[in-house]
Amino acid sequence: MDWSETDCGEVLNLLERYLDHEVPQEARIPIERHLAECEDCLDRKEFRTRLQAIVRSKCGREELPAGLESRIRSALGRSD
Amino acid sequence: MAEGDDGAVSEAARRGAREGSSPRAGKRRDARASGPPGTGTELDERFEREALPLMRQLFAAALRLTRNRADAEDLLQETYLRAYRGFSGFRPGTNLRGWLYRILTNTYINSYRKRQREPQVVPEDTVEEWYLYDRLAREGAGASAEAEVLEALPDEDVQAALESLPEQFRMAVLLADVEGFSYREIADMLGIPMGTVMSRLHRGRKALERRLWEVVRERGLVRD
Repeated sequence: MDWSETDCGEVLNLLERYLDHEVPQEARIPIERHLAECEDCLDRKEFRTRLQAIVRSKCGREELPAGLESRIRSALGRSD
Repeated sequence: MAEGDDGAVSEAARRGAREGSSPRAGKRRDARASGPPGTGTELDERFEREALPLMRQLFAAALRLTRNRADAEDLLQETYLRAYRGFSGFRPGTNLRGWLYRILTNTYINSYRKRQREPQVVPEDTVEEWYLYDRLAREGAGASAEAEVLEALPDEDVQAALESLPEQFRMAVLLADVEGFSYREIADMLGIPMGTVMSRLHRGRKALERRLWEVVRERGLVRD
């Protein structure tokens, strides 16, 4: 792939894997170069980044129900 | 390599769990007698120090998987029992969090999902790539304005959107987006190829975006 002519289509195709840190380092550089120059792609990237952060913060935090930890500890044969 | 160890331990944990699900202190001594390293006490201390603090995080994942609190509590307890029984086979310094999530997801797959009514609608592959972005972009300007609409959603709405996805898609999105595991870790955890992880994740995310758009509209957060 000729990265000097990276276009939006190529970048957007790789964006999901890029954001998942699943593209090799050498492919990250031209993507980042493109993002620095292309407002539309950058905006889409920012959107997905924020969306993921929203999903993470809204779905990943729960209080442990009262008593659950001690129930599990006693099931493990602990008394504290 | 940690992967092999994890697999073996996970198997051992499952075997252990089949012996009986009622927690008995005697069992764990038996289970541990075969396994190095460390004495029972050292293992107990390490389990206490390293595994128990992850309980709250695992509970959130258990809740997203089972979608109800009673099952999530049982699933978490079962996960910790299996982990405790199999802990002698866990190699210190490798990925404990991944190891615990593997036990959690496997326990869920093997014991809980059969009891539950699962969402049946499989995400289509025809949802546009930028479904949510394009719709939100009509409303405002720029990623931050678009994301702010989503920020405004109550936690419960986003949780319900995730929980509305069929299990295999829900699990992929949960493990990647909420828990931050890599494709490789998820593939190992679920025993599926990396390509399958990527396609489930992709379709799951698109389905989630579509559901979020419905929620945003239901909440009246956008004109339309």
